[in-house]
Parts: sequence; structure tokens; C-alpha cells
Amino acid sequence: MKKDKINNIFMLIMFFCLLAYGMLALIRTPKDISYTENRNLNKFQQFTAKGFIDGTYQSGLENAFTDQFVGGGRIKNLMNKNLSFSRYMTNVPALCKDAYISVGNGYYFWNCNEQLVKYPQTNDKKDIKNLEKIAKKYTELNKKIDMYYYYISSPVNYNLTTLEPEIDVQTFMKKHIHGEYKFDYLKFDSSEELLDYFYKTDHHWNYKGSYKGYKDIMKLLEVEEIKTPVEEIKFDFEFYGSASRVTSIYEYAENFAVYKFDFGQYDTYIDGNKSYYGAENEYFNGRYNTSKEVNHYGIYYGADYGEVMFDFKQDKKDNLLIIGNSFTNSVNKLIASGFNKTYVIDLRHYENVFNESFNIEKYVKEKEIDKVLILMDITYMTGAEFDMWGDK
Amino acid sequence: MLFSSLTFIFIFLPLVLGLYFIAKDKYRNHILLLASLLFYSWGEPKFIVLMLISIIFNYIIALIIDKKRDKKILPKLLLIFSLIINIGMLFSFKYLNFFITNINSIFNSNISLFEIALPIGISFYTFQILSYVVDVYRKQVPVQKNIFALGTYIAFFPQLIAGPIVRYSTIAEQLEKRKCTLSKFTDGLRRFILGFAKKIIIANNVALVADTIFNSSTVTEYSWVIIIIALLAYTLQIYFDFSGYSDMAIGLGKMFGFEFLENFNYPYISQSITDFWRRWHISLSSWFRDYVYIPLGGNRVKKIKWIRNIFVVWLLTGLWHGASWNYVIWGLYFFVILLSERLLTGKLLEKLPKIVKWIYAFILINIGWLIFRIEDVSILKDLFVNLVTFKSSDVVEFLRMNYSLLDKLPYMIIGLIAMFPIYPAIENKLKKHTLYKYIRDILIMILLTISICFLLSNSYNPFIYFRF
Repeated sequence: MKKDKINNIFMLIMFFCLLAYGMLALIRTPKDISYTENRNLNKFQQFTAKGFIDGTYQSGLENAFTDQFVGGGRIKNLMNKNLSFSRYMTNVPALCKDAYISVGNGYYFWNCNEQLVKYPQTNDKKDIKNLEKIAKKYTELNKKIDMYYYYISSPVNYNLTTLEPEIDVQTFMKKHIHGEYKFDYLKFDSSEELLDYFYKTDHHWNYKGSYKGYKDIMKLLEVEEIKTPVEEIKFDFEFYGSASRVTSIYEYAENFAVYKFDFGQYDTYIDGNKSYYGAENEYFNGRYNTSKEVNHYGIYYGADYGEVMFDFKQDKKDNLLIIGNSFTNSVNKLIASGFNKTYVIDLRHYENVFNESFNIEKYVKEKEIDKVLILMDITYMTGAEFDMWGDK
Repeated sequence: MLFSSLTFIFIFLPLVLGLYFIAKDKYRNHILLLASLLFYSWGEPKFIVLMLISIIFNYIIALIIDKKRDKKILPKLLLIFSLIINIGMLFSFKYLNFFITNINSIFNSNISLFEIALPIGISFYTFQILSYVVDVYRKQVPVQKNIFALGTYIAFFPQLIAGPIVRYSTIAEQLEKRKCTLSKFTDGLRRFILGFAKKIIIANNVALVADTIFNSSTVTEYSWVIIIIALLAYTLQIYFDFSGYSDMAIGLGKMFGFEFLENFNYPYISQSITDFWRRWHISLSSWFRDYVYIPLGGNRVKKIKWIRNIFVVWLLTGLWHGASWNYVIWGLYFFVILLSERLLTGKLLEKLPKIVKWIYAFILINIGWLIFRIEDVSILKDLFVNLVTFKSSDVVEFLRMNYSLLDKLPYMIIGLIAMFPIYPAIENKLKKHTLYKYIRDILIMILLTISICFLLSNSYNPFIYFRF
């Protein structure tokens, strides 16, 4: 009986130790960001009666607890990685040749681990409706502003086996967006060519893809002066992109490579403050972090902000407005070098920074913009947050 | 609130346990009631009012029934009134739209459906309330004059949302007097953790296999092999999910000093469907036996009425599970098999080898779960056709598109092993050894830790486009 008592006390002690560990999340300083999941972490919120009645307090508390759990990020990474053995068996030629193999979280290896991509989703009626809504507004805009559209054909929109797009943007543009405007897109003839323009484990275009895009865009914008790279630099560290971070698959990567350009003199303003955009010089001088979770695309080229302005002080040239998402980060400075002032707006952040919705007509007038470039990939087009008119 | 949440494990449970064991005996029911109301309102903040009204209404009705026993008709009328209100409430929330949809279908009418959310646990607590009122009427239990004690019985959070359906007679004495001992508490804790692990580790993972296949828009195109895999996965999912919750409920009850009856007894080792229903959701089948089957006459009536009685029980059992025709079909499916075992095949079954009987029962149970899982009857029909005609499809393409499901195969294997009573056999053999107990408890705590890791990993929610 005494032995049983000791055994039961032992059990209780273990249980209370585990409880105490879990409850640390309630008392420690909350963390802000998860670099693994690429998002802001939920924090414990104050109790409100309204929040309790509509259930948001409860879901918020659970989300905050899981996000702030001590060691939670590492645990999630470990669980996603170590509990998935199928990811190590995706190289079976009979299964994987010119085919997708799923690795979970919506990601697939293409062609025997050549690329880690998202599989194009079946057309969602909501996506199409959203596109049609956007199309009407662009049509109106084309009547008032000098508009240019460049569509980045990214693998996420294409079935790499058949090269059929999930949403045929080119046809959509012709059918639904009217008026005077110029349109071009990133062209490719084969899945190999398309994938050559994109990172193996990231959804962004790589240095080859973005440079091709830059040349297309300058031609579209009727700018003859095209910058050529001074040098092609392949760094000696590997780049694990967004797909790696989501799937925790770090077994496949590529060396991070860039084209080096000579930009001359220019000023940069980020969200209205004079600053520097990107970390090219740091990288060229060997000052970079080679940890697997580092997003070299974002750090080298520059991150997403509400507004970035490049002033190349070329008064005789046009002012340009570029609206896009993170795909612009690798080309915005290049494009800007062919203009006087170039404003780059990311609608996902603009409102948070400037406390007002972005109104394109008002902005174009205020900044004396001559040309507007919409630099879009499929997520830009189907994302509800990319509504640029101030009437959300 | 769910048991399988960090909020429950690390905030609610420690808080309630702390307050409960600090408080004097006479306040413990109050603490449990308040905790239970908080637990319920956590998930259903609006429907807590319904639960409170239900408690007060049935408390008053039972008091009046008890007080007016000398009257001939009044107690019966009050009972009927209580049944109408309680069942009426259940009908309104759960079955009204189903009823209207069928009326519209039959009569080509256009009656609008109501936008009603189904309060969580209403099927469970309504049956508990009904059992109390009926048992008071039948004088099988003394009326509960303390509304807090009655409220604790009705709303008690361990079994409120997913059972087991606890009879008032089981718990009446324990509400007044129960013993909380260290060994009872730790036994309850072990039971809770094992249930937690069953749900989080096995059920949630095999569910992904079942859901990926059954929820696919192209499910009717899948081959019989893929459907069988999905069905096996679902068979395991429903067992480990439901029995896991029952284990957690029974374990939690024990931690607070209550002893509940068992709800599952390794149903997948059954050697007949009759045997299966003595092992599966025992609290429900015994409820229907005591409150529907026996009042209708049970088997002490003519054969035709007896068949009617079984038919009614299984019709209601099917409907209890959901407001959809597939549940009705599922209930009647078991009606046919049970009747057949009683009248035709029972004697034959007894002569067969155990393995054959087990295969017979397991196949029938699985077919039942297919009916239970697929609400769309036309899809159900197509799946049956695929199974019996051994339809083939591109399994390689399915494997490519769902490669990560391979990761769930180990959980299916664990589930297929754990559905047999291996743990009780080990426990019985080794429980006298002290070393075994320590190893067992360390393993149980490891299970809890792993389960919490699974909970955390389920919240993994990467956002691709946010920062870069």
C-alpha cells in the first residue's frame, strides 16, 4: 500500500512538472514572430464580454497558447519533419518522373525532387468572382491613368505535366479588362524553362527569372535603357525558401545566386523615411547569416513595406508607380533606375503604415505619377487584400 | 471547450482541480457546477441560457412529481409535459430542418428552413435529464432537492459534451458523498491521459486518411482498395475518438471522486453484432433499453410486437446520431442484422470458429460505418457498387497526390493493434510488480507529452506571402 502511495505521488509529481512547464507560456515575455511559419504569433488578449460571447476570446486564447508555448516553434518543426518519412521516399522514378508527389501542407515535389512547389488548386468560384470584380475596376482605371500590367507566370498556377494554367490570366485580361493599356507576361515554352526562372524551394522568381522579367517590363514601359549585370555571383551557402520552411524539408536546396548591378547614386525612402533597401553590400562583403531558416530573398533584395521610394534624380525621366507584392522586391530597384522617382506600394502593408486605405487615383495625382505598373502574380490577383481602391 | 486543447490542460483543469481540493466538501458541487457552466459556455456562450433553463425546469418538474405522488394523474401529466418539452427542445434544434426538408420533398412545398445552430452535447444532456425525471417518476431514485447537485449532474463537464450518458441512479449517492483518494485521483489521471492519447495520436491521424478520401469530390471514382483503406481508417477513427473521449470523461470523473460506468469494452473484438452492441456506446444502448425497449414491452410481448420494439429502438438509435437519412439507414441496418442473429443466424454463429465469427462481425461493423460516414445516400450507393464490383482506378496517381498519407499508415497499424485488449492483459499480469508501475507511469507521461506535441503541431499554420 505504501509502495502504491509512493508510485502515485511519483505520477503526480511528473504531471505537475508537465503542467508547470506548459504554464510558462502564461508568464513569459510573449514572442512576436515565427520565422519558421513566416507569420506574426498570436498573443494573449484581454478578456472582453463581447469577445467571449462571439467566441473570439476563446479561439484567441487557444491560438495564443499554442503560439507562445515554450519551445513550441521547435516542437512544430520537429513534428513536421520527423513524423514524415514519406518525404524521404519521394525519389522513386516509377512514381515521380514528370509527376507531382505530395509532401503535405499543400506542397509537392515535382519530377523526382527537382522542385518543391504548391500544386495548382482547382478554380475556386470565389477566386474568379474576385478577379472579375477587380477587372471592372482596372477597366475604369485604364480610362484615367497610363496603365501597364506585367503578369509573372509562376509554377503555382500551372500544372507542370500539361502546362495548363489553373487560371488563364492572359485570356482573362483580354476578355475582362478593356480600354487602353499595355500587358505582357513571363513566357516559357516548357516546364524546365519555367522552373529555371524560379527557386527550387521558394515561391519567388530567382535572379534569372527576375532579370528576364525586368527586361520584359522595361520593354513594356517603353524604356530603352536596360541595365546589364556587372557580374553573376553564386554565394557559397544554400538557400532554403518558403516551401522548405513550411514543409520543414531542408534536404534539397540550391546555392543562392544573384546578378550584381551598378546602380549609381540614388536615395531610398521606406514608409516616408530615408533608409536603405536590401542588403546587397552586406552580402558582397560576406556579412550574412547562413542559418537554414534565413530568407535570403527577402534580406538580400529587400523586404515588404507599405511604400518604398527610389529617387534616381533623373528629372527628365518619368515618375513610376509600381503596385505589387514581394515579387517586386528583386526588380523594383532595377526598374526604378530607368525612371526619376519610383514608388513601390505593397497593398498588404500600406494601410497599416499610413492609417488610410490606398487610393490609386489620389496617389497618382499627389505624386505626379506618369506611369503605373501592376506587377502581378496569381496570388496578387486572387487575394482579397489586394483591393487598391479605398472602398474596402 | 475541448479536452484536447491546451486551454483545458494547462488553464481550466489545474484551476478547477485547485479550487476543488482546496474547498470544503459542502462547496465542491458548487465549484463543479460553476466550472461546468464555464466549460459549456466556453464553446457555446449563447446556449448556456438554454442549459440553465433546462436545469431549472426539470428540477421544478421533478420536485412537483415527487410532491404530488398521491395524485393519480398529475405526476403522469407532468412527466409527459417534461418529455414533450425536453424532446421538443431536442427536436427543434436537431431535427426540425431535417423534418422540413423531407416535408418539402414529399409535398413539393417550399417551407423555409430555420437558421438554427445545434447546441453542443444537447443529445447527451437531454437524455441524462430524461433519465432523471423518468427515474424520479418511477420512484427508482429520490428526487434531488438541491438544485446545485442536480445542476452538477446535468452539466458535469467531463461527460457533458460526448458522454457517457450517466444515469442519475449511478451518481445520486456520489453527489452527496464521495471519496477522493490519491489512488482514485491518479487512476483517473492515467485513464484521462490514455483517452487523450487515443484521441490525439491515433484518432486525429487516421482521420486524415479517412477524410482525405471520403471528402474528395472524386470519391466515387476511387477503387475498392482505396475505399477499404478509408473505411478501415474511419473505423479506427470513430472508435479511438469516441472511446478516447469516454476514457477522458471517466478519468476526469474519477479525479473528482466519481465512478462512472464503462462505455466501451473493446467492441472490435466482437464475435457477433449482438456482442458488438454490448461493447459499443454501452450507455446509449442501455438507455434505449431501459427507457424505450422495456416500456414498450421488451421481449415479453408477442413476436410481432417484439420486432416492432426492436425496430423502434434502432430507428431512434439511428436518428439520435444525426438528422440525416444515412443515420436512419444505419440504425435499421443493425435492426436487420440483430433480428437475423436472434431468429436465424445466431445458432449457426455459435458453431463457427472464433476467427470466422470475428471476421463476420468486423466486416458488418465496417459496412455499418460506411453507411454512418457518408451522408449523401447517392454517393453511398456508388461506393457500395465500387466495393462489390471491385472497381479499379489509378492507384498510382492517387498515391502521388496523397503521398503524405503514407505517414499515417503507422497510426493505422497502431490503431489496429490497440483495438485489442492488450493493455488490460499486460496490466493484469504485471500490476503486482512495482517496477512495472513506474515504467508504466513514465510511459503514460511520455504519451501525454507526445500528445501535447501533436496538439502543438496541429496549430502549425505557415503563411507564405506575409513577409516575403
